[in-house]
Amino acid sequence: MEIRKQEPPEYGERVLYQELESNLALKNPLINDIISVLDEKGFLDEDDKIWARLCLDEVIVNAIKHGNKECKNKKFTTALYATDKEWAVRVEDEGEGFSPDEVPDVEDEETLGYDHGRGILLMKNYMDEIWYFNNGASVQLMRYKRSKFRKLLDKILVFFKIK
Amino acid sequence: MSQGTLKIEEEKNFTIVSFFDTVMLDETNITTFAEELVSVIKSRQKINLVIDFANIEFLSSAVLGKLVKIRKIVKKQGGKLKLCGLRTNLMQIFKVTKLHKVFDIVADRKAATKSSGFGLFG
Repeated sequence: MEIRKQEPPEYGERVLYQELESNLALKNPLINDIISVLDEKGFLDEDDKIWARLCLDEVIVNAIKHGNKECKNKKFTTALYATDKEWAVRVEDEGEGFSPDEVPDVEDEETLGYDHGRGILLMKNYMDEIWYFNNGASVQLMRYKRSKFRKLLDKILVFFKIK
Repeated sequence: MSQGTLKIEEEKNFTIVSFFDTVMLDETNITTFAEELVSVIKSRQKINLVIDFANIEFLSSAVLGKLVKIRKIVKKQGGKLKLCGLRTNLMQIFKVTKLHKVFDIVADRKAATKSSGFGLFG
C-alpha cells in the first residue's frame, strides 16, 4: 500500500472529536472512546479490536511524543469519521512533522533486528489507506468495513503471506 | 521473587519472567517494564531468560522495539531469550513484522523450559 501525501477526504459524519494536551496518560482513555464508538457501529470483532488499538496507539503516540515532544502546552486533535462502509481517524499535532519515507524498512534480513520502524508496517497491514499531510504533522487512517467472508479471506491471505 | 510489576521465578537453569496482573503493554509502561527486566538480566552472568506473555492482552510497536533491545543485551552477555504464552492475535503482530524469525517463540513455559535451545552449553 502506498502512503499518500495529499490532504485526505473526510468520510461521512464526524462522530468523535477531541483536542487534548500532549500527555501520554490521556492516550488510553482516548483510544478506549474511539474503540467503543467503532464497536457500537459494528466495525470491530475481537481481532479488529487489537489491530485498531495498535494503529490508533501508533498515530496518537507519534503525535504526543514525536510531534509535540510531550510539551504540555502543545495540543493534538483526534477526529473520527464513519459511514456505513468505512471509518477514518485523523490525528493532527503541532510539531514540525516528519517524512514517512525516512522510516527504515524493517522487513529484510539485514534490518529485521532494528529496534524501531515497525509502526508503519503494522498500520499498512490493517488499514486500507494512510495519508500523511501538513508536512507529516497530520495523519489519517481509513479502513473499510469487512463482511465475515472477507475477514476470513484476509486471514487466509495473511497466513500465506507470512508463512 | 518479585520485582515491581514483574514476577521472577527460577526453574532449573531458567529465569522465567511473567506479569502479576493482566496488562496492556505500551508506551506508558514499557520503560518501567524494560528497566526492571534489564536489571534482572544484569544481575546474572549468563541468563537463560523466558518471558511469559500469558497475562499480556495487548502490545504496541514500542514494545517490539524494547524486546529487540532486550534480546541484544541478553545475547551480549552470552545468554538466551525465549518468549512464550503469546495469544494468537498477539502472535500475529510478531508474524506481520517478521519478528517471529528473530525471536525464539514457543507455546508456553513448559515448552520453553523443555526445548533443547537452552542448555548448560547452549
